[in-house]
Amino acid sequence: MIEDVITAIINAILVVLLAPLFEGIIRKVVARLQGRYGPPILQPYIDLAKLFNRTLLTKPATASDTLYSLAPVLVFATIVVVAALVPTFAARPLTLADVLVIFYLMGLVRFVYSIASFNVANPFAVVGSAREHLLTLGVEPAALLAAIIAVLSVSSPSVSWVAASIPGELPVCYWWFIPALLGFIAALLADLALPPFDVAEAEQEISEGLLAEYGGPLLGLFKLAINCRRLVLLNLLFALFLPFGMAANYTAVEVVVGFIVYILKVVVAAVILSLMVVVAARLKIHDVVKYLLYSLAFSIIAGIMYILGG
Amino acid sequence: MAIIAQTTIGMLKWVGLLGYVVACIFGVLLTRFPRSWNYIVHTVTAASSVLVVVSTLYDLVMGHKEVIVVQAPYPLSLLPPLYMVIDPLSAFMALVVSLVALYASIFAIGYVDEYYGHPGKLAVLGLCFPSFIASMILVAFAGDVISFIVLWEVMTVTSFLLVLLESERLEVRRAGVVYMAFATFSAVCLLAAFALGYVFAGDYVFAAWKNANLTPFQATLIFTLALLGFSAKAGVVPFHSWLPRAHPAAPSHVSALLSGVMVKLAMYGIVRIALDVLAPWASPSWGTVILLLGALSTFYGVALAIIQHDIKRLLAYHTIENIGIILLGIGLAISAYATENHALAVLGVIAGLFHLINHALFKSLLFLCSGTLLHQVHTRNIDEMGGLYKKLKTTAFAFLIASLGITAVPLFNGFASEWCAYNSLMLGMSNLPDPVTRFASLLSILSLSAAGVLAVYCFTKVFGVVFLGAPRSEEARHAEEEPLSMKVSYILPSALIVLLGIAPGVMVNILSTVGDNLVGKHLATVETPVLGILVNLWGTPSAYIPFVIAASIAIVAILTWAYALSKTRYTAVTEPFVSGVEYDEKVMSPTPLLYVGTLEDIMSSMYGVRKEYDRAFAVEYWVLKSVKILERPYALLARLLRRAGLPAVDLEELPEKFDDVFYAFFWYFGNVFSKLATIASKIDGIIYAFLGLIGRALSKLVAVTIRIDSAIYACLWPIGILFTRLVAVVSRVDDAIYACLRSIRTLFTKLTKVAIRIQCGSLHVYLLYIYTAFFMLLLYYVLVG
Repeated sequence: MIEDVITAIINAILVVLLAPLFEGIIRKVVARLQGRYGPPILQPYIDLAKLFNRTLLTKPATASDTLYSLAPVLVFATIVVVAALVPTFAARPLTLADVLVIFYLMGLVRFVYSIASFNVANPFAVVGSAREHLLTLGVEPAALLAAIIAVLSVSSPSVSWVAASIPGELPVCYWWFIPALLGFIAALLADLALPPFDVAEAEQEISEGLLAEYGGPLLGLFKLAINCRRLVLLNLLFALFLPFGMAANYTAVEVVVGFIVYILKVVVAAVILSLMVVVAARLKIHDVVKYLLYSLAFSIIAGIMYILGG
Repeated sequence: MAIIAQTTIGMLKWVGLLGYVVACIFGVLLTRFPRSWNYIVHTVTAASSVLVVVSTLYDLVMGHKEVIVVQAPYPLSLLPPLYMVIDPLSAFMALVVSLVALYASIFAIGYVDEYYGHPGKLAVLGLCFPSFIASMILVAFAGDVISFIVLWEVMTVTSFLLVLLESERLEVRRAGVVYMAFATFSAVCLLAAFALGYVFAGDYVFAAWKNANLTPFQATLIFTLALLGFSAKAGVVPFHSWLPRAHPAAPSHVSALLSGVMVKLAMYGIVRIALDVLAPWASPSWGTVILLLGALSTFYGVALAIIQHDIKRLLAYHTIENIGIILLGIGLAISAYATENHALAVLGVIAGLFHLINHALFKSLLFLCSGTLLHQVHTRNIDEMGGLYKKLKTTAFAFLIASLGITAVPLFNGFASEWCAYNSLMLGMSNLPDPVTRFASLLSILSLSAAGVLAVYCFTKVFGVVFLGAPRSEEARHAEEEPLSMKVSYILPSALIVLLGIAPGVMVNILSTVGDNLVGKHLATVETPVLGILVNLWGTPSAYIPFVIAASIAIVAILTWAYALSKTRYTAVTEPFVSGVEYDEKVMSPTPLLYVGTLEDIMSSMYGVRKEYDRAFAVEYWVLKSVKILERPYALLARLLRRAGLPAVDLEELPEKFDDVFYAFFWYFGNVFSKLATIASKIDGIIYAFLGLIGRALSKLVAVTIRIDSAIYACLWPIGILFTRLVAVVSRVDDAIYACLRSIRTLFTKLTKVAIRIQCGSLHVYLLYIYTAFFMLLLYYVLVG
């Protein structure tokens, strides 16, 4: 029990520490692919340090003080707790939360984000958070269904989602695994807020939405939270569908292997994602919703396969 | 009257019910002294509700069961005795009703001062409000056909008069007519179901039906009629169109009861009929039908809610969504019960009933908040509000808590019950034998998750537009602080929303006794750790322990906030950044349309021709026409009511959109066929191209083989010709199919035109006959047989 609690705390710290690195790798690889030299890989850390050292002196005229400063704090805190609940290096069941709790805690993040954008009364911010909801409308049913199928197929009739990440019992053995994985990845890509799909934070279009109204440490918290969220979603993919290399027991060897494999997974994912960033131009919100219908179709196909075969 | 109660606390609920009668009497007598009328009626109602809450909570926790036979004194003793049944399920329902009634009547003290100048309205309110509550409590206890139907109709009539309270507005009168139409439809179906049950089972007491010799067909017939009746009363999707009209039309504290409690009694009816009265004949297909209805209502309700501008109408549409979620739990429970999967059945019952009480709490709180807004800002249009958190701090806070509950944010009660619903649906998808039920569970999961996202979208819109930003009208700018009674009434529901969210295990444990009692087996279904839910059905744990999650979020947030506050020192304010242009509050302040415009665009095919109305199904047309049977007796009643200075409506004032609806119905069919025609023509093209390709390949093969062997040539040549001919034939067949589909489409277009002209004349006469016949039959059997 006490080891599991320590694992959860390590998960959270690991995600917070690695998240800027993840962005750094993407920025570097994208720059190299475009023939630029690019910023140093540690640039996001430097940016964050700069933001956290400033003092914020202004706030929007109509905004409520408490809500203005509480919003980034709540978003960050929720994402840190979600990060603690999703396994990274060790696949030990933690009977605190399941896949539903994680998806719905992301709902709390959206709730706070939207309330904050109404609070600053900026039309761009409101459009940004509306797009966030529309995107999630496409993402969540597909991703949740795919995740549920992965969970059910390895651990039926249990619904404890962590069971899916017990090594040696990979969901690959089932033939509906492939459409479920495709559906989950397709939905996940749209939810990462990276260029072809970054409709909600589009810099050129709506000047980063809500973030334009924030500065100093509060902006730093938002930026760090967005980065952590990306990593948490990837962790969810690893835990549900690609759980190889995770430590099943707390022996020194397994834990070290778990750490190394996890960091390798993150780096590989970052490189692959930067390819996506380079090759695609930003989609409009209508196109994103249409694209997400495909991921939903994959998940439904996986569901029907599961119903008929499981 | 012979009432035998075993305990003093159990007796309290009858004292409470007498209290409602006292409130009714004062409500009629004191109308000349509005202020004392207000305090006395609502204090007595609230006090009676406290008694009923205490008594039913005690019954529920102790698992008390009792049958009370009520024999009226002579000469009424010639009639058969009535049965009142107290068991965990009915105690739970009575608890929900009286709990909501308690704080709704406290709220009413500050709210009803608008009606002080109208003694007629005060009389209606004073008579109907307590009797509405009392009839709802008694419906839950009704143990036989007669008392159930009589109390059900008392509930309908009192709520109808309350809906019509502001009958000087045309919109309200129309809402009343539509409500009455659906309520009549519901009553006809229920009466038919109960009359059939009486004829088949030979007894008018529900408890005796279980031991009767029914065939599966008879049971299914009774269930279908009852399901129709209860669905119409609950606003399940094909029968929903009265709900968003009638609920907003009533005064807000009555809306809270209508939306929070009354529709739940229909849910109670479904559970009672399917899992108790007709349980021996329950079939998985009953559950599947309910699951599909639930999935449809869940998505449709929230999708229509999000585009509303009238706050009460928006909340009413959300009721349709939440009714759907309750149905998901109940439907799964029925399917599981019918396939002997008892543990899952209990989980389904827990999911359904837990969401029932949760929805009663947050929806009534939301309606009370909207009542405050109406009382202080004098509008229901959210476009005209804005920036109200400065004036109405308590209301903003209560609204926020209720929104967090209804959007199923973890740590609040809505999530706990949706979590149960998800878990039971997941287990249904993997454990139930019937593939159709499993597929229905899959659809339900999709619908529930999409509804979850849209609910967050919707309530951030309402909260943001109403309470944040800058005021958008003069009324909003000069709003005053809310009266004390409104603030007091928020305390109980807000506290329960948070408590049931942090410690849902308490409620789950109580509900598992209700489920065990229904299923008839005691199962070690639910293990609760200190604070939380841990459903442990098959030995593998699945847990949701909100207390720990809440605590960890709070710790991280407090640490981060302390740091953030140390780094902020506001010395100046800025205007919002809008790409370098000067910010103009009148033009650029965020509006609801800005927020949901893209969604309206994407889902425009669902919202229909006129955006304010949903695409009601043709059901509404038939139901509304059938209500014309009431025209003549009702006209008499209306004249009497009007002479007494009471609210009344003309049935002539039916809404004008039926023809549109009917037209739309046929128009869809036409559309479907023209789409089919297009698809067919495309398929033709593909087949043609495909055959052409094969033909070309073969002829190329021929050309090659000429050089190799003339025998193969001779063989392949006719096949090539055959394919060329096939191409020709297929292209003709295509034309034929295409023409056929086109003509069917034309036929439907014509039918549409015909249908518009024909008034569906004689239908209502038949319905009158059926209604009367059933009633006579019932009376005959009760009195003679």
